[in-house]
Formats: sequence, C-alpha cells, structure tokens
Amino acid sequence: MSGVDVRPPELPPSELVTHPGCAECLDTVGWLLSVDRAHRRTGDVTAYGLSWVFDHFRWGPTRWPAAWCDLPTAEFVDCGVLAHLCAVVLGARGVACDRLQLVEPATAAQTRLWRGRWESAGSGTDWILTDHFVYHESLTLHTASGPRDFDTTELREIDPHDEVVWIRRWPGDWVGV
Amino acid sequence: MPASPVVVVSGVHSGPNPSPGVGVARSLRLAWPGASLHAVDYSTESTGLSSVEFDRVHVLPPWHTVELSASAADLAALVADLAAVLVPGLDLEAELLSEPAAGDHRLLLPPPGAFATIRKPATLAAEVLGLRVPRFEVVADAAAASAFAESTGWRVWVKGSRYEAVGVRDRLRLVDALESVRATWGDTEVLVQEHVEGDEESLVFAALEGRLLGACRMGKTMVTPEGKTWAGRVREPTGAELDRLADFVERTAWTGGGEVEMVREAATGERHLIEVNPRFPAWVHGATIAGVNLPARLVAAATGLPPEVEEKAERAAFVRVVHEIPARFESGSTPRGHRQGRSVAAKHPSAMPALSRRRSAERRDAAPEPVDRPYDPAVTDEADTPLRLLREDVLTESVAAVEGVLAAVELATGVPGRFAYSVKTNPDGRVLDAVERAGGLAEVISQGEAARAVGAGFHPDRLVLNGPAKWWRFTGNRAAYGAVFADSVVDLERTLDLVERGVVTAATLGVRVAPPGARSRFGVDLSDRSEFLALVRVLRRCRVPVTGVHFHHAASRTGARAWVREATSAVDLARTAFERGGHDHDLLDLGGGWPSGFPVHEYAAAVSEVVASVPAGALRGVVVEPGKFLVERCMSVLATVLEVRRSRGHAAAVVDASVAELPDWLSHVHPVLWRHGDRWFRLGAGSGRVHGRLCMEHDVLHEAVGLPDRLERGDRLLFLNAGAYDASMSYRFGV
Repeated sequence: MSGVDVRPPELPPSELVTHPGCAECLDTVGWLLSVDRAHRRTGDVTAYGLSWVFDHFRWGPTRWPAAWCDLPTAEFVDCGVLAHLCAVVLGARGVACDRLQLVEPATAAQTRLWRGRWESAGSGTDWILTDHFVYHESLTLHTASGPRDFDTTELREIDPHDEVVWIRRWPGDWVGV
Repeated sequence: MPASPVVVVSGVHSGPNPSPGVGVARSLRLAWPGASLHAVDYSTESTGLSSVEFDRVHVLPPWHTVELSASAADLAALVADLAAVLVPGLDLEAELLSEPAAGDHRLLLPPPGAFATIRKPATLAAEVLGLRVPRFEVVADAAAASAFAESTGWRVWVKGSRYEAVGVRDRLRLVDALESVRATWGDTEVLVQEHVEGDEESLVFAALEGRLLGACRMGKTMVTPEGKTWAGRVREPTGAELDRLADFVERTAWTGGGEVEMVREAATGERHLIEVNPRFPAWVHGATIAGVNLPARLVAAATGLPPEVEEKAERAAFVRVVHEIPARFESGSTPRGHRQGRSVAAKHPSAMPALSRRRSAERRDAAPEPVDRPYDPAVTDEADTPLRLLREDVLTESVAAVEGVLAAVELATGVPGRFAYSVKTNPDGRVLDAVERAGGLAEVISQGEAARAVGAGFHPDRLVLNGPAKWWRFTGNRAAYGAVFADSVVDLERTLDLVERGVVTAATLGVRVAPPGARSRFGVDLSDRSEFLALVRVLRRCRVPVTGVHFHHAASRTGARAWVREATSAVDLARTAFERGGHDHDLLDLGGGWPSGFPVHEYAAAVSEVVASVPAGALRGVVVEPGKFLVERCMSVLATVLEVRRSRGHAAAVVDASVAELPDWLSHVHPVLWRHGDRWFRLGAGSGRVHGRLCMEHDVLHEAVGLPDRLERGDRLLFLNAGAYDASMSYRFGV
C-alpha cells in the first residue's frame, strides 16, 4: 500500500494489436526485427542496444487502440508502445522480459502541459492520473546478472532513487513503494 | 616541522585545453588552507599563474632558450630550496626530470622506466590494465598511413608519440595531420590508430613508490569541440579495476598522479586504451568534489603531513565554469622574441612543442630506394610526356587475384562466384579485353557503357546493369542483360514495367540496398520503415521474380570489418523484405571499392562472411565487382621534370603532368619513382613537393616527399597507381 493519495489503474500493459489478415502489420514486425538485427551488428550495445528505436520514433501521444500497421506513419509513440515494441525486440533476441507498470509523481506544470499535448493530438489522457501522478510503462529484463528494471522511454535503468509510488510486475499485483 | 606542506605545482595554464595545475592547487588548498603553494610555468601567457590559489609564482625561461638539463636542475633546486615537493603537470617536463630525479623524493613523478611503458601505443600498459589497444601502425610517410587507414577504415587518429591526437576521415586531412604533428612535436615517426566509437572514460590515480593511494573513475558528460572534459560524473572504480591499477603502479614503481584514458566501444562494450598520462588530469578537482582528494593523498603520503581538512563528498557530478579574475601579468609581457604567436600561445602556453622538438632527433628526408625497372626503357626514355602507361603483367596479376578471391569464397561457402568489372573505373579497351578474355562480367551504369562493353566483345548476358541512370538514353528497343539492379523503389517499378512488357529481359532482376545507418544516395534504405514497406508492396504485386540483392559501400572508406557488418545487415534486411514480398533471394552482388593491393585472403574472408550469413543452399551465386582493386596499379603516369626549386632546405619539382592527368590524386597515394642513370628509385618521405604544370594553386601532385639532391630538369618521374579513376576521369587542360 502506497502512502500517497492515488490509486493505480487496473488496465493491463498496452499491446499493439495485429489486424487479422493484415500484411502490413506483419511487414512492420518483420522490419522491426530485421532492423534490430542490423543494429546489433553495427550499433550501440549500451542501453541494451535499444537506442536505435529512437532514430525512428520520439516519445509523444499515441491514439489507442493502436496496431502494428500504425507504426509506419507514427512519428510519436507513448511509453506503452515503446515498452511493447522493446519487449518484442528483446524476446526475438532471446532475452526474457516482463512488462512493468508504474505510477510516478509529476509536477502540476508537467501534467498540465502533457494533458494539453495529448488532447491536441486527440489521444486519451487517462494515464495522467491526477495533477501530481502519472501512469508509466517499462520492462524488467532477465539478464545473466539478474533482473533489471529498465525504462524503455528514457533508455536507462530504473534507479532505486526514482520516486516510484506504485509498481506492478505484470501479471502480478500492484505494490506500493 | 610545518603543519602545512610547501608544494610546487607546474603546468598551470587554464584554457580550453587546460593543464592540471590549478585543479591540483585547489584540491591542496582544500586539504591544507595554510599550505604554501607555488606555481611554475614557462610563459606569462599561462593564465593559471593568476589564480588566487597560488602564494607565489615562478616563470622559468622558455624551453627553446635554455639548455634542457640545466633547466631541469634549476627546477629541482627551486623545489629543494623551498623544502617543498613538486607535483608536475606537464608530461614532457616530468619525463625530462625523471632521469636526474631518481632518488629525489621531493619530485613526485614516475621513474624513467614508467615513461617507456606508457609511450604510445602503450601496449604493455594496456595488457597490465586489462584493456585492448585499438589497431595501430607506426608510420614514417603518408603512403603507409593511407594504406593503414584504407585497411582499417576511416576514421583514424594521427598521434604524436607524446602529445596530440588528430582525428581524420580522408587522405588529404591525414597528410595535413601527419605534417602538423611532425612539425609541432618533432616526431619522425607518427602513430596512426583506428578510431573506436564509444564513450570516453578515465581513471585518475595517485601512487607513491609503487603503492596505490587511491583512484576514481570518471565518465565525461559534456565535452568541448576538441573532446576535452567540460563536465563529468565521478564513480568508485570496481574491485577488478583497482586490482589492475594496483598491479600497474607496483610494476612501474609509479610515484605521482596519473590518468588512464579509455573509450568503451559502443558496439561491443569492450574498453580500449587511449593513453596513460604521467600526471593528474585537469579535472582532478572533480574527484576531490566527489570526496577523493588525490593530490592531497599524494602530498600527505610524500611529506607525512596529514590533511587538516578531511575529504568530503559534495557531489558525484561536476561542471566547469568560465570566470574572469585579475591578471597577474599584463598581456604581452612575454619578451617579443620569446612569443609563440597568438594561436600557439593559447594552445600551448607552457611551450611543450618546443620542448618536444628539442628532445627529438633531427628530421631528414628519406633516401630514395632502388626498385626494379617498371617499364621497358624503350618506352620510358623516348616517350613524349605526360603519358599514361599500362603494365599488362600487373593487370594479369590483378585478374588472377580476383579469381583467387572467388575460388577462396567458393571453397569456404560452396557458393560459386563470378566477377563483374566496373567499367566506369577505367573503360580502356585493353582492360575490357583482358576482363572479357578472363570470363568476367561487365558492370555498366549507362546505356553508353553497355554499348561500349558489347563493342569490346561482351555478350549482353554478361552485362550487369546498375546505377540510378541505367535507362538514360534507353532507345526502347528490345534489350537483354545478365542482371539488372534497381537503385530505388521508383527505379524498380520502371524496370519491372519494361520487363513485364517484354522490352527488357534479364536473367536476374534485383535491388540495390543501401548500407543501413550510413548516409548513401544509392540504393533502397531498408532501415527506413517507409522504404522497406514500399519495397515490400512493389514486390508483392510484381509478376516476375526479383531474386538479386546488390550491396555496395567502398571498403576503402569503411574498412573490412565495418563493410562485413554493413553488408550482412543490408542483406538481412533485403531478405526479410523479399520474404514478405513473396520472392526468393538467390543471387548476391557485392560491389567494389576495395583498395588496390588489399590482401586476397582478407578480401575473400570478408566476402565469405557475408555469403555465409545467408542460409545454406539459398544462394545460387555471388558476384563481386572489383574496380580499383583490378586496375589501379596497372597504369602509371610518366612525367618530365621542368624545373627544380630549392630554398632554405625546402625543395619543389615542377613537372609536365598535372591534376588533369591525375585527377584522383586526393583519394589515394601515388608513389613516385625517379629515373636516375639506368636505374629507378622510389622517393621516400621528406619535406619536398611535386608541383604540376598548371597555373592553379591546387595543382600539387605530391607533398611531404624527399626530393634527391641530384634531381634535375629533364629527369623522368613516374606516378604509380594511376590506372583507376585517374584514367577514366582525366581531362585535357592546360596543354
């Protein structure tokens, strides 16, 4: 039980859907995994070799429900898309990972500006839980040196000093921090 | 016994490329507020002399005005007179002092043997520290440096033996950097080292007589345009790092401060040694802020005086700021005759270049070396010059080398291969005839080149049509090719239209794929999601098989290792797109760009690795496209010396050839042979130049070459390696 006055959402982690019979959905997954293989040969192994994702996408609003075939034209994707996309990439590499749901504090100025940006893009703002708390998605990677909580939006390990107030390792229960 | 130490700190310049003295002084002042701190430098242009941390400053005579051993003795005497210890901040000064300092416990610097251990590339130090050393070569001339860069791939670093590292990406800048490092530091031989992409890290440490007193790790978080630290984050070293470092300082009997500079390779995570500095780094006070005051630990251990103020960790991160303080010396107070010029003074106010040059051997031009006769004297003696000459024996050897590559690839992978000569490289009829007779294919990039190849005897099914302008001046009449590779999705749609209407037939239709992640105007960039999906859409609806994949990125620029990574990735992306589009990929065409003289076994190994990345049994063949590799060495340009100019040790020869006959003089080295008497000699490195005949400043055919004293008007010079783009791009000008 967290000591703060905010309840975490009951929704499962975000998932990009695959439209039945949609070749472009499968083409996009094929491109994603192939580009990841290319970057693993030529690119940066820091940040679990995921930094290339940000050569193609930037963090921003996503209109849900979203499908794989929406990605080719998407410039901005939210933390749920980034976490799902990275989970698929890491899974193809043989790296086991769990989805991670978090509730984190934010300032009133941040939530006001984010709400405005999401609304102007026509995207839902239910991830902004209150003026001072937001919902966030990430991953737990099971590496040779043990499990690592990794923020796939900021490309950094989740620091013990991060001000997380609720955490859920899907499909477990929410735990107050 | 004083409670606070007296410390002489040398090397105190504080500029964009600072010395460590001011940081050392601030750390010492923090530990002993009452310490007596003396600054030493060799010019009043050293801005740190004005720092409030120093109680007294000593400006010693510049290095170029004194006898070196006497200057070192004077500094040691100053330290002794003050009953002080010296913390040196200048690499060369420390090295100079190390010999006479043996046994002088006041001079806190490493022993002479340690300097030998850390002399670049410091392979022994790297081994002890558990670090890799980037590939390197010690070179005496631009030809060797260029050959190294072509084999490893640009970018490379040109490094002086003690100071300075210049990153270069092309041959022209490589030659400039070589000359600059030599002229500035007096090095006769210079280190050329491959660039490692990654984040830079440092280990700073202090040691006394082989005992490690402490260490910190620092990652740069902001750097200046020159790559110098502007902000950083300090961390504790790992246990393994400390063990390695302790072993290193014990083996070298290290005394003083030190810094291990490294780069963590982004692609592998491995750490490579850049250099080991025999002094504290300029950011050492950043470690003090993080709670590890290494200058104080060193001085405390050396003097037996414990710090009055204990170490205290304020923050792990530090930043630099610029602020103005009252100047102790007026600008321009250095005697006019001792000034180094405004830019030199700003970069090296402690005059390390002058000291380095004083300690280096005098540089002399290399003597010309005799070589076997390159051509029949009947040709070279009677010819009107300038004249391009063919060596058919060299061409035959090159064709055999390519055949050797293909045989080795087939042996390694089981996939048979053919070669397609890139006609644009040199469309000389004699070259085309040799390729045709050897059973090679002709790679052409226009209808004109296709017609020329057919005219030279190539059957159309031996043509590989490539490039963005393949249908330029296409007549629309029925045409056949061995293979056609589309350069873009639009080009593929146009080509498919011609094929589906029966106008064009090709045994193989394919797509050129751009190197992923590298800028190229050629081919389809399949790492771009929209291009990938566009290609898949076209493939999915076309009615004829598309089975070929073509990749080209000059290995002479990328290096073989990067070429393999890029080619393998490009082929992987292409195969995924073909699979999604419903086509089977079965022919791989790997473009040229391999340097002439590149080892056959390395060329074959690179091609084999790419072929082997394709699932077994999927490929029916592989095509390689040598251009420069095949013809660059088979032609030379013969020239006659028109004039020899000599003044104050510099020499220049003017010849009747020019950049019009050698238009590709920038991209690769053209060794020069000199005919003297009945013999030919290869000119070595030196300070001379060879000028072309044109009234154009850039018409300089060779720089940094040793011109023999006996070179005179009427002598013949032969510029080698002029058989590739020097031939096809030459023009008539100034005749």
